[in-house]
Amino acid sequence: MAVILLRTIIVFICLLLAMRLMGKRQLSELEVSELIIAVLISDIASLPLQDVGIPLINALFPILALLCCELLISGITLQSTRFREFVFGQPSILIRNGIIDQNAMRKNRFSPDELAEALRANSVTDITKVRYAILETDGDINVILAASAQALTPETLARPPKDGGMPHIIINNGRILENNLRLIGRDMNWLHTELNKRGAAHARDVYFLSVDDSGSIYFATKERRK
Amino acid sequence: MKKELFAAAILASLAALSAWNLCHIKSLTGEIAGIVELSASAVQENDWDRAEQLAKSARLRWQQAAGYTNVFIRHSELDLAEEAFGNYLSELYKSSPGGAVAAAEALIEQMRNIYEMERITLKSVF
Repeated sequence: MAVILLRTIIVFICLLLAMRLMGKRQLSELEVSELIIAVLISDIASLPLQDVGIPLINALFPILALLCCELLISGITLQSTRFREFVFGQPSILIRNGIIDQNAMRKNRFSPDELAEALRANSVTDITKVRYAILETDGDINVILAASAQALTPETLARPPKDGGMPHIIINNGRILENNLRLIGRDMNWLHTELNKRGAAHARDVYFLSVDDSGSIYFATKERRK
Repeated sequence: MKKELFAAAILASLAALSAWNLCHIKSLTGEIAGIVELSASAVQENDWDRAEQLAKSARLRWQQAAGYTNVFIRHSELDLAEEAFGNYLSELYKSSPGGAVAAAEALIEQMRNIYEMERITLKSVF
């Protein structure tokens, strides 16, 4: 067990360093330590399942140790920005004001094809319209467009839309959710009145009914089974 | 911070459990190897009854620890140990001094191997 514990910690640290050296593009939406945990745990867990000669504790022990390592690493990274930079690295700016930073591209081993692919995934076809393209520490690329290329919003048109707020489900497949009804400050009488207005005699005839913070109601009656 | 302390505590308990396991396996395999050594000495003194009695008590002690060994030791190693016990006892039944001593040595070696696998050495870790 002591050997297993030591080996687990050594493998974890080695993988952490290896993944860190491989760069962010290998990760795709997982942080380094999370990826290692995901890869190692799935592999370790399968061993005693495939070979009954391996005691179950040989899998449970390293899994527990890895989880503790991950918890410790994520905790320390929250406390120390230096440690966070060491483990996860820093975001890299690949495009700045429409100009590709070739140095950052080389450093992150990113080819122009891959950058173009990432931009297309962000619905960007014209690099000159990109203010920043940032390679995040989890391998994801976030694109911030220049102000002139950003989509129009009601705010830019100075026409703020009505904000309905969060919709609360009141009837779910014929079942009344009384807690939600109380939450919006209404009662059963109000609900029956609203149902009658919409031609439904009972809640069981309603498939879905929701009310948002502004009081707007979405209503759908139950369809008959075909 | 609580979570991290909890994780550190678990990691520390895993290390403590590993240390306990190492001591326990050392004492168990050492005890059994000691009894087998005594049994092998009895063979050399031509005291076959005592040798058999000691061998059986060593096997009994090993079997009594099955709850622990089955959980913590690879089952292939347990099979090898059981086979070594079987070989030694069959040599004792045959009353063949050379074969019995060799089988006792193999059994003691197997006990050492089980301990060595758990002991922290450069060989076992890497």
